[in-house]
Order: sequence, then C-alpha cells, then structure tokens
Amino acid sequence: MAAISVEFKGTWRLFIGTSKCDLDAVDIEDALKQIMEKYWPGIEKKIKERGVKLDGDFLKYSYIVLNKTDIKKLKDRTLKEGDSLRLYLSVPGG
Amino acid sequence: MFNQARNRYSRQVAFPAIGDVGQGKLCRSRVVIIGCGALGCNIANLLVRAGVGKISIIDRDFVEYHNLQRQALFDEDDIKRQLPKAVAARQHLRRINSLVEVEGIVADVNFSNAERFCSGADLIMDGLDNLETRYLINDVSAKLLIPYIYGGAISSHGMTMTIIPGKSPCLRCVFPDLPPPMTMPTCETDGVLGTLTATISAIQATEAIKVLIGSGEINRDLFTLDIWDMTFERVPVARNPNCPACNGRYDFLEKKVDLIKSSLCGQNRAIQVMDTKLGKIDIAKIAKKLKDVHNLICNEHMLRFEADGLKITVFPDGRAIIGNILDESLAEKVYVKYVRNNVKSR
Repeated sequence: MAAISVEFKGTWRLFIGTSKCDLDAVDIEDALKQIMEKYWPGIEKKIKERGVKLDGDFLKYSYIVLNKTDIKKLKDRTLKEGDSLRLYLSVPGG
Repeated sequence: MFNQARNRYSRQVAFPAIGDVGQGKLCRSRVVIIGCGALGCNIANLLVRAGVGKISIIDRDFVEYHNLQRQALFDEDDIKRQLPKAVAARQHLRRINSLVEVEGIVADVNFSNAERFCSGADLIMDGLDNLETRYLINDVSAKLLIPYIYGGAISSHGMTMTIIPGKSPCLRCVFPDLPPPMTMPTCETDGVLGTLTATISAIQATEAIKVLIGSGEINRDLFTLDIWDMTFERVPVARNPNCPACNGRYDFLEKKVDLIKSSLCGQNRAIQVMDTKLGKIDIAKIAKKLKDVHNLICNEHMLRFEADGLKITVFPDGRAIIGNILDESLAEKVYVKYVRNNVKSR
C-alpha cells in the first residue's frame, strides 16, 4: 500500500469540483477503483441532470498518466510512495 | 513580396524563425478553420493578420449577444443584421487584410461534406464547440494527411495539441473514445473566460504558423492550462499503434446516415436535423408554403418561424435547428413536416 497524490485536470475538475486528492492504493487499478467509488455518484448525477444517461466505464474517456507516463504503457502497475496520478478528459468547448 | 506586403509583414519577417522565406510560405498557404466561435474568431484574426494566403471559415450559427463577450470578430451590428458568423467574420477579416483571400461558408460540417471542405488545405484549424465534430475532423486529417491543430476551452480550462498525420499522435491516439452526446459540460453550463479562449487560440495560431513554414519546433505534447490558476502543463503523448484513425479506419467519417440529428452545444434544448439527401433548398419557397406559423423572418441566410410551440430555423443547406425540444424523434417529425415535405411538395 502506497500513499499517492491524484490530480484531476480540466474537464475532470468540472465534474467533481476538486483538483486533487490523496489516497492509499496498492496498484493503478486499486487507485482508479477508489477514485470511481468516491466520485462516480456525483459525476453520474451531473450527467443525469443534462437529461442523458451514461452506461459503462467513464474512465475510458480519460487520458491517465502516472508520473508523466501513459498508464497504458506501464507493465508494472504497482504504486510507490509519493507517486502522482493525473487524469485528463478532452476539453469539449471552444 | 510586393512593397505593401513587405511593409505590412515587416515586424513578423524580422522575427528570425520566420523571415522572408517563412513569410512567403505563409502567403502561399491555405488554411481551413472549422467553427467560428471564440477560438475560430481569434485564430482567423491572427492568421489573416499574419498573411496566410487563403482562409476558409466554416460555421453553422448566427451571431448572438452571448457570443460578444469572447468572439472577438463580431459586434452588435452583426446581430442587428442577423448575419451568420461565417459571413460576418469574412466581412470583418476583409477589412483587416485585403491581401488575404477569405471565404466564409455557412454550413454544418458533417460526414457528407467534411472531406470536401478540407481537401486541398495545408492545415485544418479547430474552432469547434463540440467533440463529435472534432473526432470527425480528426478522421479527415488522418485520411487526407492534412495537419490538424486541436483546441478546446471551457470554464478556465484549455487544451491544445498539434497533430501531424503519420508523425505525431492524433486525437484518438490520446482519447480513443468519444463521450456520448450531452454527457460533457458545455460553455453554457460551466461558462468560459474570454481570456482563456484568447490564450488557447493564440497558441493554436502560433503552432499554425510553425506548421505552415515547416518549422522544426512544433509542439509534440498535449498542452493544457488553467488560466484562472495560472497553471500550464505539457503532457507527453505518443502515437497509439492500435489507433483506428491512424490505421485507416475512419469511424466518424464513415458513420453515414441520411438524417443527421444532433443536440447543440451551448444552445439549451435545441436539436439540429439535416437530411443529407436534400442538398441545397430554396428557403423562400418554403416560407411561402408555410401555414399557421408565427413571427416568420426570411432572408438570404435563413428562414425562422414559430410553430407548434417551437422555434424553428431553416438554412439553405437543408438543415434546421429546432428550439425548445429535447426529444430527437419529435425533432425529426417537426423537420419532416415543415422542411422535407415542403421541399418535396410542388
């Protein structure tokens, strides 16, 4: 179990209303599971308020990096003390 | 370069990375700007002043008061004259630099026309307000091998990425899946700062100049910023070997349907409907056929009226925006009743 920091960037922050949190997690999957347990109800509520429903995994729309490396490229998923996880969504407006 | 151009662009030419050679390349370039909202306005303004040879601006909307806070090419007179953004933008840009050929196209960019609009361009600029069309343009960029500069802005958050097909990651390499319509925040729901759109568009326009002159200093990262917090970040990104668009599968370009229905970003409870088989339509003729409608306005750019408790705007390219509605199937019925049936009836 490692203490890590999580940063929510741009559109993520608009959904959850905060830019960062700290958590203790074993690996990337554990961290993402905790993030969704904590924040998905609020995200889902916001989406429902727009009159639509989103089924499936919200994380698949995100670009997620661990210490500046795309998590899709990481074979070792174990987290270390002080790691930094960042979540980005594409920015829709303009 | 002629004397007028030499004088006009002298401060830019004096910048060593551009110089006479770079300016000459800019003057011979053709850029397509998709969308003329806040990003599109600023990009067009900067590139016209920089002397890009030909600029095509494509947008489907009209100028409205809530645009003026950040859409720097427009003014109150454009609203009074009920001008489409593409037409108003062209008029303003021509007064800024008559050496640049500016084309304003009033149209909805979709699978049926996106390739045609972008074909032959040296660069595609993102001035859009929705992700659906961005994924479509990403497909066009990948298919036609035309560089595309993505930019997005909402609230105080902005993002931009320079996409060189075959060389740098595309939008789908980084964000493979498009979120379903209406799930993401919009500038209407979460606001947007004019200072943010000015900053993101300035970065996009700078990248555009670099791409057009063949600079080796193009941004290869995903650039994000928060203009309120003053946080800027370059996030490393890489090409995805499994990216559909980079492997010749253009999901958004090939998603062909006869009737396109889309909920409009920033226009609460409005749905756009378009029958791609209709082609150009005569809106004046439709206006004459309408019965039991109210507040009818018809000019060369649009036909607007109210009927069945709905505000309906019809455009010569065959599309209609149905206001005060959430149900897409109901919007389709309204479209068929007031537009398609009146086009087809004698």
